[in-house]
Amino acid sequence: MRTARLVPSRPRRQPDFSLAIVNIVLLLVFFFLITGSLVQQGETSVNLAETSDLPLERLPRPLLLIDPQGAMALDGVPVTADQIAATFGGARPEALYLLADGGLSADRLMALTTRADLIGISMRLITLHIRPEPAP
Amino acid sequence: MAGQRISLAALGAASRPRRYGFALTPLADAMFQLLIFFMLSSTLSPYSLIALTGGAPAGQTAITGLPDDSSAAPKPDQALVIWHLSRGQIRAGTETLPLAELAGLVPALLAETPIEVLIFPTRSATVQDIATVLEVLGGRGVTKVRLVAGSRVQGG
Repeated sequence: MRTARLVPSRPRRQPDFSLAIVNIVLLLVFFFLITGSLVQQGETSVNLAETSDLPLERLPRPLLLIDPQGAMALDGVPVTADQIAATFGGARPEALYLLADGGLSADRLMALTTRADLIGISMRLITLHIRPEPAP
Repeated sequence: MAGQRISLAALGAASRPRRYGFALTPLADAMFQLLIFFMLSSTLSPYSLIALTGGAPAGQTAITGLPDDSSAAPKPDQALVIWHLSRGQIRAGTETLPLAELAGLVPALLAETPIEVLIFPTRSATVQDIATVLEVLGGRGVTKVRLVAGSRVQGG
């Protein structure tokens, strides 16, 4: 009793939540790093063809965006079909990923896949994975 | 009395080990900046890939088993099926089937295996139609599908 009167009571320390906040935010950053795909402006503007049974993939590069009118952009840079091979130059990629609108005419897509100057480059169509509807 | 209290307080402070604080606020700020950047610049849309030409590397969907070679003829023991693809439907022989029902009808249409499917997209066919057909065939284990470009078949 006497001691309590002589020694001043210490101010109670408030709990520090900073470390907990940093931990949570770091986990969120990891989540977006792993699950997200970096996109450029306009790359989400097309309505992709939809599939439901294929495995999930990240948005790869090089990415050729083809809008419903057939206009193309290679990794954000507007190109024509004739300029695609020249854009690659000597560093021809193994694969070219097509972000084509689902309503695009199949003829235009086929015309691109059969171009002579793109022979040797594997073409892959990117689709939007939708959840299959549960069977009734 | 007051002097005695001060000296006791000073004695108590001296006996405690000094705590060195670590400022976490700048770290939290940087983390938030990174979080906002990744939230704004990335998309969580789930994508899938369909190989249109050539063989796909492991881990990716490979519908076409071999690189395109128009001169390669089907082997004698290999059944060849020809479909005409129109908007939302296929024509197999005299039958016209909606693509929505294709998944259920493929086992009946492709009774024999191994099999090669030749698809002629008509002028009305869209990219969605191609994706639907390739997805169904890939899911049914048909590894050899050929899309014939430049088809002048009317349909749909």
